[in-house]
Parts: sequence; structure tokens; C-alpha cells
Amino acid sequence: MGPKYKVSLYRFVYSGKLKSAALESGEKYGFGPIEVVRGGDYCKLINSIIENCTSEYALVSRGKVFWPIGIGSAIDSAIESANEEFGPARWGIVGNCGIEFISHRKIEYLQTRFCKIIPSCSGKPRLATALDGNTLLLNIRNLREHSVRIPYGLSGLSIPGLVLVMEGYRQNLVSAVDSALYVFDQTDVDEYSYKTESRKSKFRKYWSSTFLNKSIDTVYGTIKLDNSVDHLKKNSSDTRLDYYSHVASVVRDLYSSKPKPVLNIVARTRLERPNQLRRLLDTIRMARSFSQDMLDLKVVLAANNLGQSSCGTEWVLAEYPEMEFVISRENPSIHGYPRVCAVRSAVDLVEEDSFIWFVDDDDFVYPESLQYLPPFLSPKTVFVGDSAIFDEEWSGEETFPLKSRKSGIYKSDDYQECVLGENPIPFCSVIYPSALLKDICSRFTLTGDYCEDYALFLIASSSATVMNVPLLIAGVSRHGGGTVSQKDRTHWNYSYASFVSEIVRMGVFPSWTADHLRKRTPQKQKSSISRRIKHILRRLSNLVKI
Amino acid sequence: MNHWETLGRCGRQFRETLARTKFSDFKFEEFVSETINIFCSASSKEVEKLRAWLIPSLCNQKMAPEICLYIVNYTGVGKIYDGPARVGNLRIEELNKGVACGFGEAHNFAYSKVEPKGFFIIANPDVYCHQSCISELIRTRAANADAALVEARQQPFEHPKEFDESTGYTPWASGFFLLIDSGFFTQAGGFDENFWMYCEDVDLSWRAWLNGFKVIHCSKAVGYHFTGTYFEYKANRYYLENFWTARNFIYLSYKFWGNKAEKKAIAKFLRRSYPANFKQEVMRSYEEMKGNLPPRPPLIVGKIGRNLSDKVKITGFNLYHRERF
Repeated sequence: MGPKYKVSLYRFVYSGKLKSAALESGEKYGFGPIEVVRGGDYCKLINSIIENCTSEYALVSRGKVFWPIGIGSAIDSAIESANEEFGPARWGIVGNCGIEFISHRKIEYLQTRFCKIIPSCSGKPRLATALDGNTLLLNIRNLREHSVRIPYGLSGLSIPGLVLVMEGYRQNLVSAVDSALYVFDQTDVDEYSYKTESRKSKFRKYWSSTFLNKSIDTVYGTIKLDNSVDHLKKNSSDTRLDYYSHVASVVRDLYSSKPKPVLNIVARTRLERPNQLRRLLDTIRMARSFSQDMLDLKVVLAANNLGQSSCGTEWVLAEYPEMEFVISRENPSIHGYPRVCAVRSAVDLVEEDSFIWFVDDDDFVYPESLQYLPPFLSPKTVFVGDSAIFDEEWSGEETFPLKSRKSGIYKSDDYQECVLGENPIPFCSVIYPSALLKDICSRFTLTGDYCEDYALFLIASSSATVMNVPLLIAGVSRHGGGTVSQKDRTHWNYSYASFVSEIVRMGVFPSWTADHLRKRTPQKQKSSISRRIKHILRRLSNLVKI
Repeated sequence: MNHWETLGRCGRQFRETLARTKFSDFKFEEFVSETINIFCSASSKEVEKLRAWLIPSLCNQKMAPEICLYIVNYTGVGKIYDGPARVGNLRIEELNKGVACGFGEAHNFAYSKVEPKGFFIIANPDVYCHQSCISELIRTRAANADAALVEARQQPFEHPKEFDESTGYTPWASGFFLLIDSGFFTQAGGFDENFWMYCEDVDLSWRAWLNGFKVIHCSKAVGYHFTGTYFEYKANRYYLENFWTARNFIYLSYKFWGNKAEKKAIAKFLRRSYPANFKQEVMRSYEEMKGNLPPRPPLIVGKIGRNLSDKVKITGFNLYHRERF
């Protein structure tokens, strides 16, 4: 079966040898007819493709790029994913390497002569604020309808991917990166040539007359400009855009017109801390009212480990009449340990095609972050965000902590550390697709008490794409003598052993993961200085006694 | 009254004037039975948060019979709020001076229009105040006869500035959610409009301290404020806050300590890593404003040196307090 969509293929090369190789590849590898352009200006070529291409889509590559055999189906897949995610009329360009929306991080689904790491799967098209120009899939109809062109006078091999994306956003068309467009790129475009092109006065003039930003993130690093600060002056009539805010508003507009994903915030509570619970619910209320056109927020109270001091929550819940609470009460005789039990009963309650965000009742959510979540939520991905750590002092009667100080951040970028036996990601940093958790709960016994969040993340991250985004989504309160700071780790260790044992027995990780890690970071028996000092002190104290 | 004139007065004289306005007769019970006036300066950009956060949180206030929220459209153009004029006990009105105005000017305008009795509150549009926030502010004001300003406590990010844990005294009060005594505000000549935006709360606080009044941090009055500094601001652009806090740092130095301090402040600012065009624009804005100022009264320095050096102080570039943590 041939490709589904009609796509014109273009190659931009700068030598006769490359041109003949590109032409030959069309026949040899079944790419079909390719229009190969040698020399001239890449920007002009792209503009001319947008104006003259007879197909609805065009794929253009520059330099020494090796397409996979059967790229037609890969292009089909990229078009279908973009149509499904953004709608056929709302996207302009899809590439394989770019700067991700919100995270400002370079994401690349290609191999180059500088980086040969085999990329993972993107899961779905990931919104980008800048693209690399090695391979661009152009939605010709949309670009033409919205009059998106590279402005006259701009030239270069590297900047078209950047400028075209910017012009697209100015006309409300989004751009994205998709692993379906993977290529092997051996072109010599580097940071130096990129910076040279961005230093040209025409580019700078374009930039400073259109945007008020002082820097822009590109795949080759950050470009800085001494841009005018007219927008800050008294009674300013400066109409230039903040590029990144504008992208955020285009994305928000796009996702508010789509069906809203259901996000279940599952608050685990022992019903002992009404003041903390109220703070959490206050922030959920703020989040809800600010993101209601993009997300359908539901609140599930998972009551666990109820003790003597547990109180009714009705009087707290009554203060939030606009929220619909689903209260899941554990049944330890069926489900086992209370923390896992709370997770299981909440997972049973929520809908299959929704998402689950576990928080403890002393955590809180960052209301404004939620508006950025929909582009990152997908049934096939586990979302990991950042969480701020707050050292707090609470007294029983006070509605608020006596002291609250931000002392650090659990960074989503550290999520890979979990495979080394550490848990750098708190429960409230992760948003799971419900179906994935339902599947895990049905396949695993999850025996143990503490570390249940770690176990769930390990299992989930091995069977789904992890989308880690440095977006602050929650605050974690550290107060009192919690489990993490307990000196006696016996119960904790038994739990840890039980969870990891099941993960090992079920073969969650492929064997090469451990082999690779052992090779890279040999595990040495550590004898820390503090341990040695303690040992010496113990011996000294024994001597004193004698 | 011009705020420059109030700077030159001695504390006792000022206190006596205010005593005549029965300033100290403030009773909690009286004020919770009257309409509470809240001013909020906003533009169409902030209205979304105002509707989502501030308005619902004001509707949930305990012990407040009626609250009137005056949204001051600081752009001076058109109408920014098209929601209901009443939500429960909350009445909402939009004010418009007809010209673009800064933070201080917007609040001065609202004050002159509404003429609030006893006290009023100023609020940022992106605040969600806890249900007991207003009653706690009023209670604190009632318990401190000479308090001119009572600020709420910011959560979850507490402002790191110092305050005395037993008395609540603090060098300056943040304008994110602030109770201001009307008598004091009238006598002080309102906000200094030369600031345009940012630091006018520091200026008002210092004028309160210098004239014998108290500026109090109320820990029990809590407002959730996810500030731009901690959450929104990105390194890829300059914000109004960058520009105006730098410019007003120089102005504050000049206003309270004179030419020498101004020079020092300028040198401190020029040492910052801002690009040349940013620095030029800040200096141009400052020089332009200074050119329109009346002659500065010879005052303050001695007074600050004697009694209030722990309250009226500059501890670094754009820093007016010691940090608690």
C-alpha cells in the first residue's frame, strides 16, 4: 500500500556530488520523485516551495541527510499524529529536532555526527518553539492560507527552521517535533555557523521589530540580542510580542477548543490534618478556576490508615461546594498495606481514559501550571514535573504553617536516577494515565508499605514514554517526623525489598540496562568519611568508659 | 497634600493631627459591620486572574457583611470587567480615570472617588485570600492603635523579609494585600505617583515609620500569591518589575537620603549586569522624573539615623530589609 497523503519531496544540497546522490536515492530506495536544488539560498527555496508546491504537504531536507527507506509511511504517521493532536487546520511545520514548548529543552529524534544516541519515541508530536532545518514537514495548505513565509531578506542554512516556526505562531499555527521523522544527518551545521547567521543585521532587525525578548533558545544554543526596552516605558505603545507568551497563548487557545482531558487529583489523607487538606483544596480551587477551559479536574479523597485521631472531613469539604468529591475508603483486609490500598481503591474508582495525579494532603498544587499540562498528557506517556520542597512548621491549631521556607526542588530531569535504587521523584511530581495504572494494579501484587510511589514509577516508566518537563506543578511539605526522616529504617527497608523483588521477578527492566549502568558506573563499596569518624568516636567513647 | 511636605514634618506633629481624626478609636466590631472597600488596579491582561481568584476568594470572606471591590482600569481605555456587578456579599465596580496611570496614581484616584471611612485594602488581581484574611487584618489593626499599614502574609512562598515575631513590626509592607488606614493615607498625601509602579509600598511604609506610625505584618492573614518573580518570570525578556524597581531604587535613595545616596545607588545600579541600552533607559526615565520634582526638603537623614535605622534602610540593590531565611 502506498503513502496515504500526497507529499512532495525536496532536497537542498550544495555540491554536485550530493545532488546526484540525492537523485539516485529517489529511484534506488523507492522515495519517488525528489526535487533536488543545488546551491542558492535555503530560505528562498522554502518560500518558493510554500508558494509553488502542488501537494498539500512537502518534506524538505537540507545537506547530507539520510532518510529511512519507506519514509512515505513515516511521513503519513507524522501527518496523522499532528492532525490528531492539533487538528488539521492548526499546525504548520513538524520537524525531528527542536526546542520544546515550556521546557525550553532541545529534543531530538535524529542522529548526527556529533550525537549518536539512539533517540526514544516522542509518543506524540511535542510542541516546539524552534526547529532545526535538517528536515521539515510543511503543511503547505495551512502555511499558504495563513500567509506564513520567511520574511524577505533573511538568508542562511540554519535559521529557516527558527524563523518559519516563529512566523507560524504569529499566524496561530503551531509547530512540533515528532520521532516519526527520524533521519541520520551528517551535515556540518554547527553552533558557529548558526550564530554567524543570527548575528546578521537583517535577522536582528527582524527580531527587534517583531519581538521584545532579549534572547531566544535555538537548537544550537541561546541567541542573545540587545533588544529595545520600549515596552517597559511609561505609557508605552510598543506592540511587539513576547514570543514565548504568545506561543503559550496560541497553545492555550488550541487546547481550549479540544475535548478536555479528565485529571483526577487523588489526595491521600488520613483525615487528621484538616488545615493542610484545606490548603491543598484551596490551591486546587485556584487551579480549577484558572484552567477550567482546558482540563476537567476531579478530586478523589483516598482515605487511608485511619487512626484514633481521624476526624470527619465533612466540615472542610463543605467549604468547597463547587468540587465534587469522590471518597475512596480503603479496605486493608482486601488490599493489604494502607498506602498501596489507597492507591488501588482510587485507581479502581477513576475512569479508564483519564489521568491520575496523586498528592498527599499536606502537598499543594501550583495553580497556574495546570494550564500548560494538556499538551503533555497522553495515554501513552507518564508525565513528570518538578516539585518544590518546603520546610515547614505546623502547630495543631494554626490554619497555616508557622514557618514555611522553600528549600529546594525535586527536579524532573533526575527521574532516570530511579533505576539506580534512589527515588528522586516524589509522588506528586507524576501524572499517570489511568489505564496504565489499572494495568499495573492488575498485574502486580505491590506488596509493601513505604516506597509504593517509587515502585509504581519504576514499573510505569518501563512500559510507557516518560515525558519529563521542568514545570513546577506541586509543593511538598516537609514537617514533623515523617517516614523519610525516621531513623529506624527497618520497616522502610522491608517495603523497599518487597517492591523491588517483584519488579526484578517480573523482569521489568531489560538485562542490558543493568549491564550498561554497571559498565558506566562501577559500584564500589563506599566507606564514607562520616562513617569512619563515627566508628572512631564509638571506640573513643568505649575507651573513656573504661 | 503633597507627600514631599509630609516628609518634612516631625513625627509628633503628624501624630497629633491624626489623633484629632479619632484615629485611635478604631473598633473591630464597628468595622466588620460596615462595607469594606478594596481597590485593585488591573488591566484586561489581569482580569482573568481577578475573576478566577480574587473575586471568588472575596466572596468567601468570614465576618465581612459587604465588600466592595473597585477595579481600577489603569490603562484608562474602555471597560475591562464585564462580569456580574454583585456576587453574594461582594459588590464590584469598575473605575476609570480616563488616562493611563501607574499603581500609586490608580489607587489615589480610587481613594479620592470612594473616600473610604476608617481604612481600605489594596489587593493585587492575582491574589487568592484565605477566608479569614480580611477579618484578621482588621483585628490586627484594631489591636494596634498606631498602625498605619497592616500587610497580609504571602503563601506558599513567604516573603523572606524580616518581621518581629512578637509585634509583627516590619520595615515595609508589601502592597499585594494591604490594609491602609484612611486617616494616615489622607494625611500622608497618598501614594507618591512619581514611582509609577513598584516600590511605592516601600515609600509609604517608610513615611509611616518616620511619622511615628507602625507597619505591621499579620501572620494570620494569609493570601495565596504565586508571584511572577518565583513562578512566571523567564530569563528571555525584561519585565516591568526589572525596569521600575531599578529606577525606583535610585529614586528612593535620593528621596530619603539625598544626593550622596543617589550617587551611590546609581553606581550600584550601573554595576549590575544589565545591557547598556537597559541602563540608559532606566537613567533617562529617572532623570526625566527628577527634572519635574519640587525642591527636596532637607530632612530625614538625621531622623533615620537616630531612631529608625532598623526600619528605614537599604541593604542592597533593590533590597530594603534583612532576609529571614
